[in-house]
Amino acid sequence: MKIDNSFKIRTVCGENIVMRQGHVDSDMTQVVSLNSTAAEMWKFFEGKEFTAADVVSYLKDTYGIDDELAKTDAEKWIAKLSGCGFIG
Amino acid sequence: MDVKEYKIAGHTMRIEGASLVNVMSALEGFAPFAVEPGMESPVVTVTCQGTDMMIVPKCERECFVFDSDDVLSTFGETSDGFIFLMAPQYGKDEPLCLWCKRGDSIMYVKGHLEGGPMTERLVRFALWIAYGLATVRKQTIAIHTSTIQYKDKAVLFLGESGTGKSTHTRLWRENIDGAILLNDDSPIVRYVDGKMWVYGSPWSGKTPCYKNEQYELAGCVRLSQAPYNKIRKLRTIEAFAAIHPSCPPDFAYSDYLYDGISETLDVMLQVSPFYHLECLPNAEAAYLSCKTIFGE
Repeated sequence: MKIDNSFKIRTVCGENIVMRQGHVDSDMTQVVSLNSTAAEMWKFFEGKEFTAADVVSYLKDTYGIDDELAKTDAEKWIAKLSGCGFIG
Repeated sequence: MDVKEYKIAGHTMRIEGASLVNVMSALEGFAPFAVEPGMESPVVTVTCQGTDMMIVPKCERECFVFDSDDVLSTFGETSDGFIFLMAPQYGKDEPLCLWCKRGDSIMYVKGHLEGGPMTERLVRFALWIAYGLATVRKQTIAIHTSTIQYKDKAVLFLGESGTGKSTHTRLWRENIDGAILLNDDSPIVRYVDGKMWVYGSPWSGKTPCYKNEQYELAGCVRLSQAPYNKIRKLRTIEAFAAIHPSCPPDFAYSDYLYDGISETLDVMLQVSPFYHLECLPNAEAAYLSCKTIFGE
């Protein structure tokens, strides 16, 4: 999987914001705010092909958490971003 | 030499070329912003000189296409810049094209510039785009809003078309002493010397309100229609979501341009309170937003 490179993370007033632009006549613009960890993960994985196992490894290596928690958190992060259409 | 210059929100826009300058003379709203040419270095020069011999660069990526009152407008990226094409869909009116290189202050206009209502309409819009392109990375944004000046401050009322922005500012004017319309469609906000300022502009929609004046921003109010009046302060992320749709949509699909917008919004959100007003079209709604912002 890969983060869609048409999305860019921006910091506005300390918030990590990703926008999904709508189109005229159907204002479906979504503004998504990521917490600092989710934003760090975005910045680490953007532009790369990665698997769920890569995300688990990243979380274990970066935060020193155990395998089970890393799996749960990785799944949540992937599910949230996929749900917003940011991962394809 | 056929030249006119206008100073809008402190940025000088220079217009060059006989036919374009002729159109400017007929365009309502620009006269209050006219300045003596050559006094200051222009932020943007819009010219039609020699463009009849130029080849219009190819649009490599369409960023934003929309149809408004039978004119199809396309904003896009070329290999090294931006292009804006406006094509009337019916009748004999010809298209008008504006293009520039990324970061360049010279912008070229090509098309039928012999005057008439359609030419004036297209030139007016092309200049709005040209001004926006030239200033978007200079902490300056044209915001789609109806704006009140009151007590030497400005209040922006936000919302999509039909929400009642103009109705709400009319209610301020009719019910609050000293409340005056600054602009009804597209004032300019600009961050200067640690403050966010709101400037009148030559672009005011269907309401002829072209004021060459500036006021410090007091607050922004996102409006929604409701069967009651209720106001609450917005959190940062909500405020961003409230103001983002009021920024030029043409620029939202280019990282280069949107970086400029988000930089200005970043400051704007820090210095200005944002509110959401759910309201009826009545005087109490105006009193409520006024009391919330000005404490009276």
